[in-house]
This record gives sequence, C-alpha cells and structure tokens, in this order.
Amino acid sequence: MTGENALEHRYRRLLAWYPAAHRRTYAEEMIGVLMAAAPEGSSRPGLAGAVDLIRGGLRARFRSGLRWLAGTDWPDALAVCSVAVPVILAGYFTADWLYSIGTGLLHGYTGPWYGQAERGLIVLAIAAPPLLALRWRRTAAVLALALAGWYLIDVFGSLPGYISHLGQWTWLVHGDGISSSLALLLGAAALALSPGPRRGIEILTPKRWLLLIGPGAAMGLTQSYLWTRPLWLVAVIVIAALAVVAAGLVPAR
Amino acid sequence: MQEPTFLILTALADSAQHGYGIMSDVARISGGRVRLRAGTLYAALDRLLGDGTVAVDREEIVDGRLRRYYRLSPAGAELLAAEADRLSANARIAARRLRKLREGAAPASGAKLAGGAALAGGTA
Repeated sequence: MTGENALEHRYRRLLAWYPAAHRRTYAEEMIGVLMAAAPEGSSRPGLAGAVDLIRGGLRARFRSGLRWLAGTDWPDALAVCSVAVPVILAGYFTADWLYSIGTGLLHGYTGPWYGQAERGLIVLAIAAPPLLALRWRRTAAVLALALAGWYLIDVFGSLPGYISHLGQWTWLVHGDGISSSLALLLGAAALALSPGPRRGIEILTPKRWLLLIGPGAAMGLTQSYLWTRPLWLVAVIVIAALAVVAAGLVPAR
Repeated sequence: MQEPTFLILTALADSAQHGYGIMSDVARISGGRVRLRAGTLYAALDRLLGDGTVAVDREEIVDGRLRRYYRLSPAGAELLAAEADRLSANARIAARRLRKLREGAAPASGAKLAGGAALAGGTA
C-alpha cells in the first residue's frame, strides 16, 4: 500500500466513528478535504486531526440520537408499551403454566391445586389492568401501580431471609421477582402516561403481535430446562423492552 | 454564535465554496489564528445545513474526488448580518471605554504622584 493509500485507509477507519447516515452524506467529501489538507508524503493522520475526527463522530452520534428522541411519538410508543409489557409477561407465564400442567399430567402429578391457581392468578393480575384500561384507563393505571407496588414490597420484604440462607446467589433466585416488578411498574407508568392500550392495539400489526408474544412464550416453554430461570425472565424483559421500542417507534399502519 | 461558525458564514458570504476552500478562507480571514479541522468543519456544516443557514450549491468530481460547494442562504445572510452588527456594536463600545480609560488614567496617575510628593514633604 502506498503512503497516500495508507493515509486514506486510515482516514476511512477514523470516519467509522461517525453514524452511518452522516458517512453516507459526507464521507467521500471529507476524505477529499482530509487528503487535500494532509502534509505532503504523510501516511498517518496527525494526532490532533485524529482526535478532531473522533470528537466530531461522537458529537454527530449524540446529535442523531437527540434527533431520534425528538422525532419519536412518545405517547404512541407508551401506548404500545401499555399493551406489549403485559402481553409478553402474560405469554411467558401462560406458557410456563401450561407447560407445568402438561408435564404434570404426563407424570401423573400436577402438584397442589393452590400452586396451579397461583400461576393462573399471576396471569390474570398481568392481563387485568390493560383489559380494564380499555374502558377505565386511570383506574386501571392505579390498579397496575398498586399491583406492581405490592409485588415489589413482597419481593424486597422476603429478600433479607433469602440473603441469610443463600448469600450471594440471592440476586439469581430473586432476579425474576425484581425484573417482574420493574416490568409491572413500566406497564403501570405506560398506562398512566399514554392514550391507553386501545391506541396501542391500533398501532400493532399482526407481525408485531407475533414479535411480542413469540419470545415470551418460547422462554416460558423452555425455562424449566434451565437452572438459571431468573436470568431467562430478565432476558424476557430485555426483549420486551426492545420489542416495545421497535414497535412503538415505527409509524402506525 | 461561536467564532468558527461566524468565520464559516463569513467565508461563504464571499462566494460558494467547497470544504477545503472554506478551511483555507477561514485561516486567511482570521489571520491564521483559527485553523478549522475537517471534523469541526463538517460538524458545523451539518448543523448549518440542518437549520437552513447554508445550502448545497453544486457538486463536482475533481481528480476522482467529490467536491460539494456550499453557499449562504438568505436566512444565513440575515443571521450573519445581525451577528456582525452585534459584534461591531460591542467593539465600538469597548473601543470608546478603552479610550476613556486611557484618557482618564494619565491625569489621575499624575495627581496621585503629586499627592504622594506633598505628603512626603509634610513629614520631612
């Protein structure tokens, strides 16, 4: 590689700090300017020039992030969120519940009746607020907030006992409780701050419904095979958040 | 308005220019004091294009490389004129006050010296 080619190659690598949209518009032009301004015979960008490009790239990324935030229809994103969070959680818990009933029937033992009833109640508690919000949004938001608060107090209230028994593994055992309460809080906030699940349902296409229900249900069906169950639920929450962002930020059909 | 922005707009007030031309002109206008680098220049151009202060005039390919020429938009010309007025008004006030300060400093320092001599004479 000749000195000039090496220099251009290095400048192009530095331009990778810029967001793709910025590179599409300016990269070729900037390369021309950088090469014209480079001292004769140099094969490496100077330190100050390199720092200037990295700083410019980071600034451009920050600005494009701000533009993305400003251009987002947040009430609509939250409306999708008010549907998506309960749908993903309910998908997860329903699949988990059906799986335990199915395997129980296969082995001739389904456990105590209250164990099964508790799983059913969890699904109901997750599904109730958004269903209620179709008619009474504010009441549903208060109910969802109360449920999330109660769950949070229950989780953190029993934490000291678990810490004394399990020590460092507590986070693993209680990871699902903490992430579920956070998800419930997110759902409650979305109910309170958005136009409501009716708007969310309007925005969601059948494909997006699959995107929301699929990961939760798949994880509910497979989590029993893994010892690290709480990590699976944390993953469900992360996927839920990503699905919400993806579904909420694209224009309505 | 920051100085690099002011200088870029000033460079474009003369004629439409490409990136390297703007960099060279800014160095010339500022007497070599401000040397824009490509990262700083294109951050400013992207912002100025976004708010409609400058516009793309034309594009050319020279020696296989893209050259895009930028020009000052009417809104940019107004903005530059307002900033130039503001800076020259500030500069006029600063110059007037400095003149007063210099004029007032000479007699005041003379009086202080005279007073000091009288005091020295009194104690002697």
